[in-house]
Amino acid sequence: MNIETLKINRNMSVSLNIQLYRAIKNAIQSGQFKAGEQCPTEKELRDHFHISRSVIQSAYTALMEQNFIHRIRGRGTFVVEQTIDLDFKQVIQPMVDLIEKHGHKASLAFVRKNILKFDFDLMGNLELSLEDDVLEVTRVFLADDEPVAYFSYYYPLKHFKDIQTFDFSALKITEPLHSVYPDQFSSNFRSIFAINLDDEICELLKLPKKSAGFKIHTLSYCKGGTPSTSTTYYLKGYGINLNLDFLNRFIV
Amino acid sequence: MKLNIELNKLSDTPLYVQIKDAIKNAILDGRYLDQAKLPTEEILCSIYSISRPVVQRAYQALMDEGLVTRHQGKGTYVNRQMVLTNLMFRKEDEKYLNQLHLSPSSRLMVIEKIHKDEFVTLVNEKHEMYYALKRILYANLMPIVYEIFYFPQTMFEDFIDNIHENSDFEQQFLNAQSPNTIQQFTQMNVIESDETLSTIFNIQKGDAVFKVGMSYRFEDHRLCHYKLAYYPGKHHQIDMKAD
Repeated sequence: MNIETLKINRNMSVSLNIQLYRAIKNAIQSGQFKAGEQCPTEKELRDHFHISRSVIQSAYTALMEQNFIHRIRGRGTFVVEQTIDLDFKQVIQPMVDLIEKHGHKASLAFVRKNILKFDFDLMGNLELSLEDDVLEVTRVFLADDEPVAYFSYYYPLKHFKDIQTFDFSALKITEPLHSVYPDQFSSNFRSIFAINLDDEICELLKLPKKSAGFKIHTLSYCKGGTPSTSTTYYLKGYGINLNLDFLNRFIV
Repeated sequence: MKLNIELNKLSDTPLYVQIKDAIKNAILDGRYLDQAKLPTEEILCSIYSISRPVVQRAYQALMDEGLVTRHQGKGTYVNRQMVLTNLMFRKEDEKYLNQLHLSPSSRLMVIEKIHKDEFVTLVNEKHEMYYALKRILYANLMPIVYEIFYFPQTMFEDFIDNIHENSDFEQQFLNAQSPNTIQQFTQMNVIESDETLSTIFNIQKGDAVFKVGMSYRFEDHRLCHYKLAYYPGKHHQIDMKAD
């Protein structure tokens, strides 16, 4: 990012913070400052333009508020990347479609498979007892080998016979098992949270520790109305935009 | 956890209210942590030399406000953090909070003048100058939303000229929002709390916060106002039936 290209004129009547804001905004919109590029540091701006800290902070705050740039703790400030829209009607297929539409390759990396005892906080209200065994399958979703999402599926063994023998690595990328156990995915209830992600998730998604992100918990019900399985997706908070048309339907 | 209550037996304020308020403040300040056990009624009675019914009434009031929960045979515990569901989807958020008995209140922080160039979402609108009104919404005195409303200067010129200390400007502004505006989301992210948000919400720097942008338009698509709002992750979640 070339700081020389930014033009600031002390003699203009427009205040300096607005000039700086507009200069960087234009540079980003015209493509001069590219998506993912690091923005000039406060020191660079002060040394080059001889402007004060408060001028810089004011301009950067405005740019951040409007999603042009974002700060990654410990690393610096960066131009926001292309955002991925997610329709929470489904999560995986739209992600695949959008990634492929932009000419990238979508893939899944298998992380692990575990049998756990039912845990309400982790798995949601599956209406199981603490003795029940649940298969946890964890994967990371990649766009061109860049991790985008981390997710875990939970399959209570008593509802899903033979699931332990299932070969998850052979599964197609889209929602698995709907065709194999169709009755178990009759309807879904979704909860979305803003959380600070666990260390393991941050590491797999290549984010700084305790980065903020979305946690999306989906509880699926079978035809009879009892809960059958749940899935939890963890996504980075930035660079991922939820499909807003879908959300707009929920406005009361 | 030591609870220091200064009781004034001569005050007009009923004793049970004094006790309730003291405990409530301790909870809201974070001095009484989530899941902490409150002193038993007997202990409170003996420490402050007050009768059992008074203490019972105070604890009942705390339960009614959702701040504590009684577990039969075990004691009274501070509730989980207040979690609101789908508040960002509600056009009339204060009315909704009232229905939940969560005493909404608000504090206007500042009103600034900005040019549409400074806020990209407004760049295609026909108005040039806007006011940015920043306010904090509270439920039970706990800050739960930080909102910035952007509205065209020309629409609200009269209000701005007549602001004084005690005027109910905010209420007038909110009443003037036509109930027939169509509300739509324009952005939703999760960000890390900065200095400003940490101070407002009394959370750690870096804590997760929902950041939401919404436009409010008349039927002819003219912009009535735009809102940028921050909802701390520890107090909010979104629930939806999918498919």
